[in-house]
Amino acid sequence: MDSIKWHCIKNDKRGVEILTDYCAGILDPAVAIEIDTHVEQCAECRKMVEAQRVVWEMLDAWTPLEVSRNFDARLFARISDEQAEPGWRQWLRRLFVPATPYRFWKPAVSLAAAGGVVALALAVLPGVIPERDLGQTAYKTAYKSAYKSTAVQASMSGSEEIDLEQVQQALDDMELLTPVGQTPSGRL
Amino acid sequence: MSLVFPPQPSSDPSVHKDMEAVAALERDAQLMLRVRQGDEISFTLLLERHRGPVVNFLHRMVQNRAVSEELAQEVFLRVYRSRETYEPTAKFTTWLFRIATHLALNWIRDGKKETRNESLSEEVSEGMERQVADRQPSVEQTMIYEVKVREIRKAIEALPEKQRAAILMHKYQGLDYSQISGALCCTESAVKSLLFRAYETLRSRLAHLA
Repeated sequence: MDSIKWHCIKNDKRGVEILTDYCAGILDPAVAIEIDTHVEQCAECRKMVEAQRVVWEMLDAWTPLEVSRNFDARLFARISDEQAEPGWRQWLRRLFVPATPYRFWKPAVSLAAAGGVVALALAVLPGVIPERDLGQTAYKTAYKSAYKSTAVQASMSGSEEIDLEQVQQALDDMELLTPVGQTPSGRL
Repeated sequence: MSLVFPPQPSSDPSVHKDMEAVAALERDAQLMLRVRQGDEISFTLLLERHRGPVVNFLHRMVQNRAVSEELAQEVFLRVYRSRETYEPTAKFTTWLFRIATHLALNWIRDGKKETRNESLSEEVSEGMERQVADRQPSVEQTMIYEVKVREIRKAIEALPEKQRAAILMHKYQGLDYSQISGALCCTESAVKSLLFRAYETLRSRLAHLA
């Protein structure tokens, strides 16, 4: 607590916590004595302590109420009613009405639900993509493989020049993959 | 395992005295573990010990007596329902006030705010009688008390829910920062921040009553 001696408690990050506990009377006695000394010397802290004391007095004035006399009887009646329910109903209640209310773990459930939707989407995605897109994808793949195979053949035959006729033939073959009404580029 | 409710009270006064002694010595978690094993008396002891604090905490949160008792019943009902899976991973009071806090926050956020026209004078006079047990309060004392309670109620009600819960647990239930953080499901530094802001607001709001 040496730091308290050298600068204002109020501006210390822990200072407000210390002063609050000081006003509540729950500080260690040795520390409380140090605070007493500082508060006598520091007008700002003294002002804050006084204001906090007013708050504590007001909070103390709000005294607790007596609980209704039939509180226990009503609670036991509810427990008995639940015990009389079928086991499956009790099990469902334990599942859907947990001790800590649902809202507490709502974010986790939302994330899990979102994950499930994404998984489902990925599972059905192939059935959702239009044929046009599939055709275009197949076209591009076939074009690349045709070009490559032509280039390979050219290199194997020793010729460094790609035979344009062979490429054209490959492209003609690929047109068979293009849906009717569309150009190979996919445009209508 | 099902328990028989209500537990049959013993007519032997020495049993009651023993029960009080046992309650004083037993830790809440140990009592709850006994409830898990089917000990109905342990649940009654837990109820006896925590009924008042839970009801009053909820009353200060929702500021409606009927609702606070209803929510408190729900708290203990959930404690009882969870008996078979209870594990003493945290302090019992932390767990208890976590349930209470979340029920209160849910109630507040769901907007199920019944009219708060419950008689303030009724509550005030009850509190006043408790304060001055031996003699009738004077008119002036009653008026001062009413003003104080009204102001503090309004000030607490104006706080954001989590600040309200933190300050009520800190001031009235005597929970430490780690317990409050467990009840509110946040970090200790978040609790300190909540309390700092809450007390700062109360200081400025109640300064005129100094």
